[in-house]
Amino acid sequence: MTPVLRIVLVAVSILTFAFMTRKIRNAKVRLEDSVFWYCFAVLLLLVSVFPGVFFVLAGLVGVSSPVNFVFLFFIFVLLVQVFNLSVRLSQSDTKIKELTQHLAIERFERHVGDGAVTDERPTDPHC
Amino acid sequence: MLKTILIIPAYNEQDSIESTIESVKRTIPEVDFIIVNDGSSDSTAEVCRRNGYPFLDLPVNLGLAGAFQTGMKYAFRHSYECAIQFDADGQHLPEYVPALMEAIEHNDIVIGSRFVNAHKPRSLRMLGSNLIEGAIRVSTGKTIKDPTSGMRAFNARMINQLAFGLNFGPEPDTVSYLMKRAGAKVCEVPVRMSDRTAGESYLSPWNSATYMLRMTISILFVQYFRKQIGGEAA
Repeated sequence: MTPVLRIVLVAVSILTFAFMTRKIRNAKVRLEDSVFWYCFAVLLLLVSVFPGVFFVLAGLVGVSSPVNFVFLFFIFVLLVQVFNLSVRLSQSDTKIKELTQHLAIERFERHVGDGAVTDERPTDPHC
Repeated sequence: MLKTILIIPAYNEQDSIESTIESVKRTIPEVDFIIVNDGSSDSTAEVCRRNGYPFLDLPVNLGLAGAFQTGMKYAFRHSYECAIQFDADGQHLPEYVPALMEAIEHNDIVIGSRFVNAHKPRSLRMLGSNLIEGAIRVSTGKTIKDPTSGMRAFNARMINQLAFGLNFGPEPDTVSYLMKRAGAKVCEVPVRMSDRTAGESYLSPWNSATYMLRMTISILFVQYFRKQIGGEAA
């Protein structure tokens, strides 16, 4: 791993840290969501300060260049995060859909002065 | 006769909704209906309000699946025993609704089918229909001649599922899933459909391609991993 790459990694780590901290200060992001990025920054710092760890890991997996292993490792970390985001987005969409539907139904029922016959959901566990 | 409601999703249908609803009221006055205005940007809501049509007004656009499900939730809350999916653009003819209502008494799902007796014309769209028909035959062993027909009736057991489940859009893959995992009894009733009177179809080439891909993956793959649904077949 070249010294230049190590410097870049340190710089990115510090920038990530600074950027996330500023977002929290300005109340733009929830604390829960920042945890991943702080860990990410720490990880980058570790890679640049102790590259030896990645030499050992690269040797174990059989990747000839440790730099490639570093790339692969971070691609996986980011993939996991993208997957989580995709799931979260799906859940958010569902919640918005439920709210919208409920709002429309309630408004109509209030308008015609005709309440629901039943407000229960079916007891089926799949619902 | 089961307590029945027509669910009519409408997205930017200001030009056709009035004639559609008037023909419904004229032909089948005994059947309830509810329009679901899917966040239209034109004056669909205005037309409904002016004519005093019952309509659920979604403040944002949810797409066909979300709009249809809103109607299903309404049907569930008001204890309807049969809900019929009906297009606002004038393609579906109310004359055929009583036939669906009759058939739903002995079935879970009834599909208003254009091809029970007639042959499918040769076109790209019908190629898609054939592919879905094939996929459903492979996964359920049953033949549905017109899987893409948007005119479908559902009984109370199906309303429960469609109203609250996720991934229960009004599409052929849902029908296939319900047949396979809920033992739904499905039958087809012959109907004719007219050409749309106004508005634009969703079916651009790109949309059709992604639709086919989604249906194929859903019918041939995903549904094997979805959960079994309880309840007795009709």
